[in-house]
Amino acid sequence: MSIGVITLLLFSSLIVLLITGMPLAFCLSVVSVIATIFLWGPEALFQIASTTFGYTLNIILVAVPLFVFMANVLMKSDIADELYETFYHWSGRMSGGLAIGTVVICGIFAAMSGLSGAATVSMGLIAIPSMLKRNYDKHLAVGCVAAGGALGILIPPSVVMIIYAVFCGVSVGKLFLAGIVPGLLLAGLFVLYIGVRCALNPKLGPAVPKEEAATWSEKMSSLKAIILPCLLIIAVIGSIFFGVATPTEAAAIGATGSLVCAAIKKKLTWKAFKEASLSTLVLSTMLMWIVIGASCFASVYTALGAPDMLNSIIMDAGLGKWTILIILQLSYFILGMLMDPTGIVMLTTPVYIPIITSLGFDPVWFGILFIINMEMGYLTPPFGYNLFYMRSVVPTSVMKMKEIYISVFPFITIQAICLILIILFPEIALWLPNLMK
Amino acid sequence: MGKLQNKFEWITRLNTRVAGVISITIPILALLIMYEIIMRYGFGRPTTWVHDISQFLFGAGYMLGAGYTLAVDGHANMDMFYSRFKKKGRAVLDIISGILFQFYVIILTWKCGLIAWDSVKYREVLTQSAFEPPLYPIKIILFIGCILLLLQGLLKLLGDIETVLSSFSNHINNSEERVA
Repeated sequence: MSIGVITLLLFSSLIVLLITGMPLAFCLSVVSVIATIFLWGPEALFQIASTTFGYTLNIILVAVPLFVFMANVLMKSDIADELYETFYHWSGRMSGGLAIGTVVICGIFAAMSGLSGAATVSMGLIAIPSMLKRNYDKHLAVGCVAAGGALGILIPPSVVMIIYAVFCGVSVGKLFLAGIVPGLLLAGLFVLYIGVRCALNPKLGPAVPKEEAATWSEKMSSLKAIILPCLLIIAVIGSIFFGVATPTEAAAIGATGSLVCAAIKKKLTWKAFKEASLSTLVLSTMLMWIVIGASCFASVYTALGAPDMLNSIIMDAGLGKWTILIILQLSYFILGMLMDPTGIVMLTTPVYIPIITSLGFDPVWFGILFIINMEMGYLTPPFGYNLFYMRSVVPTSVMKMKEIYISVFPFITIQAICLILIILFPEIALWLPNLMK
Repeated sequence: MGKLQNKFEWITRLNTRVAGVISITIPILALLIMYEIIMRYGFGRPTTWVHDISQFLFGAGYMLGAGYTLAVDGHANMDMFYSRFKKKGRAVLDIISGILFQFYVIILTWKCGLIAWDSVKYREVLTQSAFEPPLYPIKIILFIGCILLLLQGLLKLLGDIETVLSSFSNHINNSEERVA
């Protein structure tokens, strides 16, 4: 059999297994075990165990559970409630102000957590009911939380960025810094969109009535809620920017800092501590088994020579470098419908990164494009995490799944605009990391 | 839940207990690395061991947490088609994927057992480290993690088989009643 046929068989059996509802991590492992037996015989199977063991010797990946833990502890310490209170006081009187505030809080949360779940779930539980009570348009309310929550993987720290950096051989710190400006840009575009729409049609986001407006002293004292999150963000991102700490160490600072925050807020009970630890364990175990499975899968098709083959097919097709870039982005978008970003990074890296570097593109910049693409994936069915979160927090009496899809659509468009802006102006992403040098 | 599955519920309890204990290593990891930072900047005496130990602790975490993660359905999957099936249809799909999964886990357990055994036999240490920690403890943990995952997977498979069998016998009972 030719390499092409075997590769096609590998990927099609992977997709068939995915359709049976088997977890992604095990689909990858099962296909690699069976392929290894057929291609190289049972003697080659020790590879599976040594790959699994290999990940116990990776210090960068240790940052993953620590960032997840940080977000889980912060979720338990009611920081989101207090931030929402602050924005309620400050921007509630503006039309669309609560939705704008929600996006800003999601941005702050994104800067304290590595995945999108923490912000999406917290704001889904706090902001959506509050906005619906104030007669906000339900599409706007749900859309801004789902899209704002997805900022979590673009604004550092970001677990997806850590995995991309490990497998593409770029610096985690640089990738983190490269995400800051695009993250702020995207959040800014969301705010602009909400602001303009609500200015044109104030019924979409009615202002909080005058009787409920906060006094100046209330406004001032509500600002206290911002102090702790800001300190935490500065400690984590600052220590990476100034080269004081490695990303793993910054994650430890963040995790310890979140415990301190919870203690200050008197939310650090033994029960909360245990729950945060256990849900962190489950999430990081899930991610690590995808890493293991995808790594076995990638080593099978790398050993076959498939990356070289795909590489030469793409490079010899006579396409311009921008056409290739767009094809790669489209393939990310399609893969984003089938699997988790972790799996996508690991399966595509052996093929894509050589192409990208030989075309003269910067892999850090390409990483940011990848992340924004994954954010779009978070909002697109069938594998859209944030849509699942929305389904779990929005009662079906308020909104059916189909309506949730509709409500995120304008935000996906904005993400696509942001993606195009960064393709056209790479400096948006690369300016900050280049300062670090 | 089927009778047999009930009888083996201790597997889930065991995995829950193991995960509860091992999850505490995550905050411990944070504190260990903080200790390293403080020793390095505060006292100018970086440790040699925190780096290696933290890798091993996280490794132990996701290996020993694997059974529990399976038990609570913590693994990401694509359920676009799966969720359209009824209970019995899902159980049939689960049996197919469960058998394939067991095949993989048995091989993984066997191979991890072999590398653990070799590691114990040769008193293997991590050579590319100043601390030179022994490698066999983490390799044994890998093996134990595989066994916990194997047991949890078998329990799940048993439950799915019982679901299919019981709906099958219900079906026979119903048609017998109709004949009578």
